[in-house]
Amino acid sequence: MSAPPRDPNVDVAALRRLDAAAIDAAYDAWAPRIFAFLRRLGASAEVAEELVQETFVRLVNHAPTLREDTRLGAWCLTVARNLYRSHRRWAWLDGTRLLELAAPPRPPGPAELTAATELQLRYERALATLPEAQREVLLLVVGEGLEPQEAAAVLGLNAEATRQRLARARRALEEALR
Amino acid sequence: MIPDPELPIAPLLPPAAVHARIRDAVRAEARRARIRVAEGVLHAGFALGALAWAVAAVAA
Repeated sequence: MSAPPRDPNVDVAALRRLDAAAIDAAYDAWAPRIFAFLRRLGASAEVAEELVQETFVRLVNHAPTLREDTRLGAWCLTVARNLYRSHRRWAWLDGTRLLELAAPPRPPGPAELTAATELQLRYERALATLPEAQREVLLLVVGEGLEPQEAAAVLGLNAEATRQRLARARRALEEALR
Repeated sequence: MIPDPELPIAPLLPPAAVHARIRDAVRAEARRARIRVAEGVLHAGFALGALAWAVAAVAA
């Protein structure tokens, strides 16, 4: 299976009109990538599925007010990340889920990774050892191809802090790959 | 060194059945959103019509 295009072209004007084809196009372009982003942040498959759905429900409900120049991927990734953080905060209050949160994130297994090569599995394992803050900046900039200023907006950081975090994350990943 | 701009990680996809189920839920939400927008337009039309009727009645 080939990788999806890095910046799929979704018609935001049509999305603002709640055009069914545009909503399908946005979903097809971004849902798998949001799912992968959440799984690699440490969400279980069930939680990632739930949050992908909530992200796109929010997209539909906000679509009429989107700006024409909205970068859809960055918008969806911001919402998904915020939902995941919120989910984790609530999970801390739910005693039945403490064990799930205490466990370190498990990298996705080979069965989940489509056509993974040995090199890709090495990177997955190395990525999973990084702190979440470093993992997410790498996934956004290097994985999803966001511009550093877009990643900064997703992360709620300024450009310089994002640049520094990215540099640390690259060093940590190289270290983990040794 | 990490290849740039691509991180060599494999596609990680939700199961096809899950993907389809979520897409159906999103489509259903879009239908509800379109109905809300249409109702909003209809209510605005009614309000405008009522206002025009009231102005005409006062003027008459």
